[in-house]
Amino acid sequence: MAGHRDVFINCPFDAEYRVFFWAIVFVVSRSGFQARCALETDDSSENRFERICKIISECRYGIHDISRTELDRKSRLPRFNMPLELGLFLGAKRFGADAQKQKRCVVLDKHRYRFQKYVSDISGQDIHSHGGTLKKLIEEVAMWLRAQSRDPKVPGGRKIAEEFESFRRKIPRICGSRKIEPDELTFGDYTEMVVEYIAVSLRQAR
Amino acid sequence: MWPNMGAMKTKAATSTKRTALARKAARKVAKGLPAKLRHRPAYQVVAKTYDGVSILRPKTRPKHFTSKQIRKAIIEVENAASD
Repeated sequence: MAGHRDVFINCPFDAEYRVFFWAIVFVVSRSGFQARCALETDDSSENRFERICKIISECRYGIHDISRTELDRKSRLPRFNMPLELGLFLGAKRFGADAQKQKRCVVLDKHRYRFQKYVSDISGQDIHSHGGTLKKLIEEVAMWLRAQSRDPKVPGGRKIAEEFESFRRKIPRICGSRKIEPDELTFGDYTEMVVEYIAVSLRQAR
Repeated sequence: MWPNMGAMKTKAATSTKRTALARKAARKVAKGLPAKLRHRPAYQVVAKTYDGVSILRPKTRPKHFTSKQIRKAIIEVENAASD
């Protein structure tokens, strides 16, 4: 059953993309949704693919960034996880039961029509571009979520981008006071930090 | 006086069968309902922002600290920044 506030985030999880991933999670929480992704459980006894399928089935919304097309430095091969998970999401919507048919997603790439060269089968979809910049990515995701929520109270992309920048500057200090490095944060740690930060700082701002 | 084990076993079996039937009936009812009326997962609201957006509790629990500990750390950093 699709959770009507659950958002599945499908993007790279490496150090290079980390800030972008953090920004997406921030936007999702700030817009009144719940961020979900493949990193949320750390159980080796569970099959990763099964876990991803379960999370996708529970999420009504999906944010898919398929911009990572570069070859892996070591293996010299591209990563196919993002297109695979996008395919799963679209498949669930196409072939799933009534609740699954209500799924909505946004697909992001660096440039608007670049994807047609590597996943031409989705050329009928409206793809959003972020140009590889954090600000544009936040704006695109925030505006899409705002439209999905149909809630005029949800702030626009520029406002959320400012709030994220302010939060991002404080992450090392917040982590420092808990004697942990930012790159050691788990998905659960980071989402909890985001939610508590919004609860504290945006309540204080009144 | 020994309890009538045969009767008890029959009673237990009937009860299990009834529960299974009740569950099956509930599933059937849920299947027939429109998607909007079916069960939705409950969300816990952590706070409301100054602009009225409800912030939801994450599905995943933190590993390296508790909610209280991280909130305390954030308040300290926020207070230090405003000083």
